[in-house]
Amino acid sequence: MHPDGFETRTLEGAPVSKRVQQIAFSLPDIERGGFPHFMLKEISEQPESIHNAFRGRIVRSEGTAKLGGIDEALLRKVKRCHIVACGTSWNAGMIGKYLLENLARIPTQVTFGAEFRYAHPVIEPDTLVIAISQSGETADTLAGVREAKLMGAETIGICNVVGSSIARECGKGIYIHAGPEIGVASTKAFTSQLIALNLLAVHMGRMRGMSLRAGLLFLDALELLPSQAEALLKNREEIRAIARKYAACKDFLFIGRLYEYPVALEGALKLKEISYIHAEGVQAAEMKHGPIALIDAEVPTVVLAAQTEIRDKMVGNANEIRARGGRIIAVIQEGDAEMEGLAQEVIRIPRTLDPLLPVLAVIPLQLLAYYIAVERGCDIDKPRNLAKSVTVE
Amino acid sequence: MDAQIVLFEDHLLGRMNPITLTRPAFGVTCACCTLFELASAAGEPSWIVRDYLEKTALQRYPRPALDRTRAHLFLNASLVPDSRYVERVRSLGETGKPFIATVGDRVSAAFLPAGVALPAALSSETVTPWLLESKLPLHEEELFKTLDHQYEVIKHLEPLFDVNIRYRIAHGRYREVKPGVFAAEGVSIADTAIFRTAHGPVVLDADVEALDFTYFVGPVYVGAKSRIIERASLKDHVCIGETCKIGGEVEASIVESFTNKQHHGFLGHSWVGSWVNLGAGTSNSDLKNTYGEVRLEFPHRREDTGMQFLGSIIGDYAKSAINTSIFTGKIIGVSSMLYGFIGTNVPSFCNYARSFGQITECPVDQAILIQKRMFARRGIHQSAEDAALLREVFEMTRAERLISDEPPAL
Repeated sequence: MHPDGFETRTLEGAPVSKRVQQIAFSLPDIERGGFPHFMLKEISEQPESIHNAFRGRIVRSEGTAKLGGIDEALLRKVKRCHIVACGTSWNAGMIGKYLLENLARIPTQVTFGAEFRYAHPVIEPDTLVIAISQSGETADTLAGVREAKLMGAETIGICNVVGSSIARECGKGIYIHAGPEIGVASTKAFTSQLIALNLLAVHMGRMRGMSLRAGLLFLDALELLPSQAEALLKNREEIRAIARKYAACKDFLFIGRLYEYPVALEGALKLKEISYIHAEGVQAAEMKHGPIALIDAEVPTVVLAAQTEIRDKMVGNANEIRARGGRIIAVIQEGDAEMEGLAQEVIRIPRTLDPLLPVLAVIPLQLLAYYIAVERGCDIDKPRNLAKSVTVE
Repeated sequence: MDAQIVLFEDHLLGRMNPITLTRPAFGVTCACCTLFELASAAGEPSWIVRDYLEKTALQRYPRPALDRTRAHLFLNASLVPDSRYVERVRSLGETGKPFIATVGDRVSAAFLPAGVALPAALSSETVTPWLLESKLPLHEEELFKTLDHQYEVIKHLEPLFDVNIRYRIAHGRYREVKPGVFAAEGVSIADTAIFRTAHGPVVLDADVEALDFTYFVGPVYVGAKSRIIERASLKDHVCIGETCKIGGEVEASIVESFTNKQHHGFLGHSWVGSWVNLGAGTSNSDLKNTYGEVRLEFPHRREDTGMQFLGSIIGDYAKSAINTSIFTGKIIGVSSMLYGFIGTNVPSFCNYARSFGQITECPVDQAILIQKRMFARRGIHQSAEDAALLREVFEMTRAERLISDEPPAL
């Protein structure tokens, strides 16, 4: 090659004539692997990325998980956890709180990265601060980690990008192995973060009295997730049909309880990010304290009711919405005839354990947001005003 | 039953010390049965135990070779010896459906249909991981309970006694010689012996002697060739092994075979191993003055038992001097010698005279010599394996006796 162009020669230096041909697709097209958008590609990669997040981390002979990047002795002495994160990672962190409290019985709180330094957090001895960030560069979370270390906390990172600032600052943690995430709206990183948090919670739970049986049941359910995610993705045309019906709506509500509440937050966030529709995630029991006033025929509600533990309460929510003329898109477990009778649209989730449910329940919400944005002609991979990783405070 | 039963030990036996230091877990008596006896009623069990126990276990427990052509029902050797399990084991062996069942942190049972290849070698360390890695369907029910801690042999004693002693009566060769008193062949009962059977039967196995003025309050089981000494009182859930001599007052306790407690003194809510000799006047407490829950004390940890009554757990070959007094909930190691007040746990192979300011190690050669003398009195030849077992246990328990500047405590 030279400044004026190029020429081709054999190894012996003899010139070779080459025909120049213009290819009909761009480099990003190749990277998208035939998908119209990175976001859809990344949603579709989830069966593999979920598997990658737990591959090699299952110890069936002990009914637990192994996390090579974290010292066992450290995890044994932890008495309290504090999760620091932003955006989608914060939603994952909220699920992490339920996981750590339910499976490992460790009191856990979740703080926005931006608030950690200013909220005067109480860091007691043997507190573990868990920083979650896909890029590992989120400025607010990184600042939180530094503050936590100054306060004497042990810190671990749950990151996707190897060698990122948060991973280095923490010095130990769990890489989620989701592969590069290009779409600004995080999808596969979220589900991989959930897998990492589940592994951590089960690992710490098995150290603290979680039974072998519970551990094995968890591992059985975990190993089914990739195929269950695959099955969900095969139904994408059904979700696309729902998206067409509701793409013109100006407001959406997403409601859920316990593990499904952060999923509701994440579903609403995805819709806001890429379709620019106003959407709110609401804890379902809080509906009666205000948000139910928003219900009418123009405001559809996505009702997350696949969780077994608190399903009946969600049926109550659905009845209240119906009574007020609201339309319901229900995310339910396969075979829930009662909820099917209450909803205008139904998205069925394969059966799994409640702690793992968010991994599956969020996938149709990602697809719903994606197809609504497609219908509305939005720039899905580069939504307005947003950056992939927020490196400013 | 088509399937071959395999009793297997796992890696969690340490919490049963000192009971299982010297015997396979399936050989622990609880409520007048051992798991080996019950498993043998369901089929001829093969077994897998810790390597160091294998030779002495073979002296006592027949072991058919693993038949690799058959289906296999693996049962944890620590299952509680509950006679109701016999039918459950039979039916599990006949359904032919693969499963793995757990209880707490343990695999309790697993069924592998014929054709599933067993590893070339299975040990007590590898069998549980192998079963778990086999990805057998998890059984929906718990199926079996296990003995996880030494004090649980007493915890399960009363709840299981009635069902187990009735199982013995139904499957043994006994005659009802008095209302509620069942005697096997060769039993001799003094005319002055008194039996109270309103709350449970008394079962006397072959060649038992109940001497003058002995007093039995059922349920009580006495193993073959044991002698109940004059004026002895055996009350409420007592289980005596074979070839024992029992005097004094015994309540809600298990005494394994070849043990002597000839004289007066109280033994309550206790488990006593084999080849133990309790000197005259030896007594244990089984209730705290506060009437509170008994808590076991170990270095760096305490363990709540949830029991208001708990006496002692006394390892095989232990001996007590006259008038030894053992406090509530104490654990006495294998081959230890006790003198005076026993206010703490006692490590294995200790001369323990703390109240006289003397605690020393009991040399293993001396323990082996005593073993030889005791065996000879019962017409038993001391094998090289018997002596080797004591040497092995001596080494295994060395750390118990090396706790810095503190007096040794288990």
